Parts: sequence; C-alpha cells; structure tokens
Amino acid sequence: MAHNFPVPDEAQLERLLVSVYKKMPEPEFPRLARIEERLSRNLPPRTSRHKVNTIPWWIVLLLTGGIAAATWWVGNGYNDAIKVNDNDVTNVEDEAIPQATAPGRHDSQEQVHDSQHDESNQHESPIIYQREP
Amino acid sequence: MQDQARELLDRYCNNSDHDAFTTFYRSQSGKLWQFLRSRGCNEDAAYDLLAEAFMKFIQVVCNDLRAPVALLYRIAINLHIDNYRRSQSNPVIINNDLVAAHVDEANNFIDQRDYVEHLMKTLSQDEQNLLFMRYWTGLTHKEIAGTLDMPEGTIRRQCAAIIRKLQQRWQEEDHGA
Repeated sequence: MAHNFPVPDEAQLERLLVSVYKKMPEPEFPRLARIEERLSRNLPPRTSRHKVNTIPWWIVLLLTGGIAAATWWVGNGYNDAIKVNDNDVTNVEDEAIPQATAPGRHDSQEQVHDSQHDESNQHESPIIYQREP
Repeated sequence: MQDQARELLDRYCNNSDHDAFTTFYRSQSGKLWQFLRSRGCNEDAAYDLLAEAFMKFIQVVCNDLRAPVALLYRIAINLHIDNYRRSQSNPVIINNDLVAAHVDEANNFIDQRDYVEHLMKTLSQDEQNLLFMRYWTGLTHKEIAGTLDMPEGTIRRQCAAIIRKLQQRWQEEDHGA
C-alpha cells in the first residue's frame, strides 16, 4: 500500500475526486433512451394539470364587476339616489309656486297680445263689406 | 445547474412541457446511473433502479420544486437501500476473481487518481454518498441536507471532515512507505 505521492491540499484533493468520478463507466445510451420512452408514456397528459382549478378570465371579470356594482349600490349609490329624489321633490314645488301664484299676469299678457293682434289685423285686412253711411 | 433543473421542472409542472422533463432526464440520468453503480449496484440493477426512481420522481416532484435533484437522489438512495435489504435475504455468490482484482488494484497505484479511488473505498457508504453528491452531482450543502434529512451545518462539517480524513490516511500510508 506504499506510495510516494505528496499529500494534496484541499483544492487538489477535490480535483482528484472529480477526476475519479470522470473515470467511472458511462451508461449505454440505448438503454437510457428506452427508459426515457417508458417515462414519457407515464407522464400525465399535456395541459391536464394546467386546467385544474383554472377559472376563465371573463367569469372572474364578470363576478368582480358585479360585486363592485353591488357594493357601490348598497353603499354610496343608494344614499345618493335618496338625496336625488328629495331634491326632485323640492324642485317640483319651487316650479309649481310661480305657476300657481301668477296666472293673472300671464293672462293679461295674452289679452294685450290678442288685442294688438286684432288691431293689426284690422289695418292689414282688405275691406270686404262696409256699411253705407 | 440546480437553477436550470428547477426551471425545467417548473415548465413541466406548470405548462405540462414534456420536452422540459426530457431535457431534465437527459441531464440527470447518466450521473444517477453512475451514482447507483458507485453504490455497488450491478449494471442491470442500476438501470432498473434508475427507471424506478424517475417513475416515483414524476409522481411527487410537482408538489415541491425547491430542490428537485436532491429529491431525485433521495428517492434513488431509498430505493437502493430497499434493494440492498431485499438482496440480503438472498444467498450471495462471491466472485473470487473480482476480489483478487480489487486486491491487485489496491497494491498497484499508477497515479494519484488511482490512489484517491482506493482511499475513497475505505470510506463508509454515507461518506461516499456525500462526496458523490457534493463533488460530482454538484449539489449544495443545503440540497444534500434535504436529501439526507440532516441539518445543513452537519453536512458542511461532515464534508470537511471527510476531506481531512482522506488527507490523514494519505499521510499515514505515505509515512508507512
């Protein structure tokens, strides 16, 4: 068991270990290829795993949109809708008051307008019949 | 290399990319076969264990992609241990020619590499596994720790201790000359 090799340091020893492994016999390629073929038959079918627990994007989008709309409606939207209804009621009252309180003025304006219209008609219309004096 | 293996298997698991798995198999099968041969398997048994290890590997690898190569070696080691236990129950035929060849080999060292090979055979099975995974497969201490179910610090210390042991034996036999 004698030898004359100097004691290697750690790095040299690591290189020697790698060289020992490199010297090891190589497997036969055809036998590895046969195992590869057998394995490929046992692999799960393509895309089977990919589809598990996957929801189409448009369903997610619809659900998200629906939930967001519902939240908006229940929260801010509903309160705003109530305020809008209140405002509508007060506006209707405001508009109703002038119509109710000043009908005379409107009527007199119409009467003045009608009399003016008659006078202008009298001047412009041709004389069809005139009583003899 | 480990990152590349992880990336390939990530493509296999998440995109069902069979070509990525084939590339991984081709990059690892040769070394795994050599590992099994170095553990004392004969040629045919090494091929059988290799196939069995990969079969088990494809069933579990997608559950945890952190250290796939370490997982593969862990499966192979366990299968080898099971195989060894089974063979213990069968009668062993000792080939005297092979034993004589080993004795001759031990007494005639052509170069330092032959001598290191002789020294490696004096190590225990676990120590040889550790050296193979560290210096040939290129696993990190952390990955080996995952393979052997041991703390990373222990693996780091053991690797250093094995190197020191080899140097010590080298020196002792040198003095014995």
